[in-house]
Amino acid sequence: MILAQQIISGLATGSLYALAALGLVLIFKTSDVVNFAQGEMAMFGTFIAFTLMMKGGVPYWGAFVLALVFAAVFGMLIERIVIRPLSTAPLISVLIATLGLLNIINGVAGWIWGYDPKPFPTGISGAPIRVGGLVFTLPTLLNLAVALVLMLAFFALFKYSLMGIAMRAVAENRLAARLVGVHTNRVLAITWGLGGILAATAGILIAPVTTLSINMMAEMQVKAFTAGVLGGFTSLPGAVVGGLLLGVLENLVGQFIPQLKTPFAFALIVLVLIFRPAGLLGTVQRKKV
Amino acid sequence: MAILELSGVTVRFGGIVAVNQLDMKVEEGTIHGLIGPNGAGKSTVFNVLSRYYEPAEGTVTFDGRNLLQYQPSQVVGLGIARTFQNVELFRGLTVWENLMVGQHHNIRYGMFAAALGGLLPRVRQAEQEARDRAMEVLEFLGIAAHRDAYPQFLPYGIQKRVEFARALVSRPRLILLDEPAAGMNPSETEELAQLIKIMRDKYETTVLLVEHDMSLVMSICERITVMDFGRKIADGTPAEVQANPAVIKAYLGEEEVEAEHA
Ligand SMILES: Nc1ncnc2c1ncn2[C@@H]1O[C@H](COP(=O)(O)OP(=O)(O)OP(=O)(O)O)[C@@H](O)[C@H]1O
Ligand SMILES: [Mg+2]
Repeated sequence: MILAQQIISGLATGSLYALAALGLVLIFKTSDVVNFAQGEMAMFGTFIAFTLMMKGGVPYWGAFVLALVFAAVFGMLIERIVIRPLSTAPLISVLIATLGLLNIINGVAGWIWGYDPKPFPTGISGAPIRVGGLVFTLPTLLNLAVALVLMLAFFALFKYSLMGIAMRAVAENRLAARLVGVHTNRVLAITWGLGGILAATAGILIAPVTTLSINMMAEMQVKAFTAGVLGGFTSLPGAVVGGLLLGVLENLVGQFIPQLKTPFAFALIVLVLIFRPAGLLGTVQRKKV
Repeated sequence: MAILELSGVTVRFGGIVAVNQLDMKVEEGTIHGLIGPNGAGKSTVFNVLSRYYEPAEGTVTFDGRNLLQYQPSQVVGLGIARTFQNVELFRGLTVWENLMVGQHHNIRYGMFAAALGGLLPRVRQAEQEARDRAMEVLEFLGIAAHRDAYPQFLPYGIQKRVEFARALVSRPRLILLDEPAAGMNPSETEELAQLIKIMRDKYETTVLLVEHDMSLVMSICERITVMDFGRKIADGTPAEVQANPAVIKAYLGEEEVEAEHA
């Protein structure tokens, strides 16, 4: 029973990792960019939601939706201003650029909102649900539900919608996609917008746990990478499974040796990279036509 | 009226002049052949029309517009679709999905419509039209049975047809076919010849055809332009071109040389 309860709380944290990983994987899958700034995009969006609630008096769900709209525009702007001009640059330059973004967004957020952690509300509250001897808190259930619904929605988008199919085509061969009429720049902008939405969703759901601060995503980002890599880094269901798996494993490790929780996540990254290096290193090749 | 007009088009790669001062007119509604020995510059012309290669000199007018001021991704939207000499289908996408990509230029919706997807009637309708069109074209080209297959597992001749289909679903006014009969046996080639003619009438397109199979070219083309070493050496009707000494020397002569070696 204790084990089962541990697994449940592992799933709760894991669903947050999964959400954070979904955005990373979506962007990597389509644009080949490992976005180190994903966590800071999440944090910034969460601050926007916070400001709307505290200064603007907007109710929770209204602030949530408005923050997502902001995050989508923010993601598209990042693509337009930073990523697109680097589209022919070596991969390493793009990596450094997203690392740069991480620091820029973090610095600007500190300048605007300060450095003190702030409590952040949850979307639902109420008595935990008990099933048998197990306890499910409402935020846990909400997070799990949001992670699963978003995973399914994005999975369906990729599988069935014309936009999703075009995203896969762009991911596979950007030049060929352009030559058969896909507006690749627009597809990439939309991908970054959706990545921004996923980031802000993750941030808003994570903030009640971590409290709201400019460094709230620091640890989460590492976990999101681990979750993504665990899942193969190009698969959306993989990101969710990876996130949940990491949450559960980590919780079980923490049960016995709490100090090793975070080293455990890193050890997992290294192990997965050794055995599945293709996960992170896929590149699009330019071909003569 | 000429739907496509190239004048003085020159393409260089370092020291190589792949296309040299090419003038060519393609009349609307015709099946126009572009032929020449290996390396003559035919595919390079297609890549200029796709806006993939930038010509060093010359002008290209399509449907009264200066084609050279458009981006590669806008060309399909203008009404020029193509196939590739070495099939360029997306391997991670099924035949059906490849045909969806071929219609992407028609999809005008933005970010939020994309996120909401099928929930919006406007998007649903656009996607339904794309599906109807794809089904019709698959049936027209006789490859509907392969709609859920991944292209790399299909015979080369079928892959060529899938590319043909992907070009056709975009509703082109001008379709560029780069060696569509490659990998086909004589009876399949004959069937393809009929399909190209029927397509031209049914979909009201103009066809620019690059092909090494002379029986195909001579049987369906109304006009032919012949290139050799990047230059145009002849153009005219099939009969005129076949009787042209320069063509016989450069092109048909080469076949005789090949035949002697065989
Ligand atoms: N991207 C490129 N870089 C350098 N040279 C090129 C490039 N593309 C084409 N060429 C050269 O330009 C010339 C014309 O090539 P092209 O592919 O247009 O010939 P083609 O008429 O299509 O021949 P084939 O019948 O063999 O397909 C050749 O000498 C080729 O090597
Ligand atoms: Mg060629």
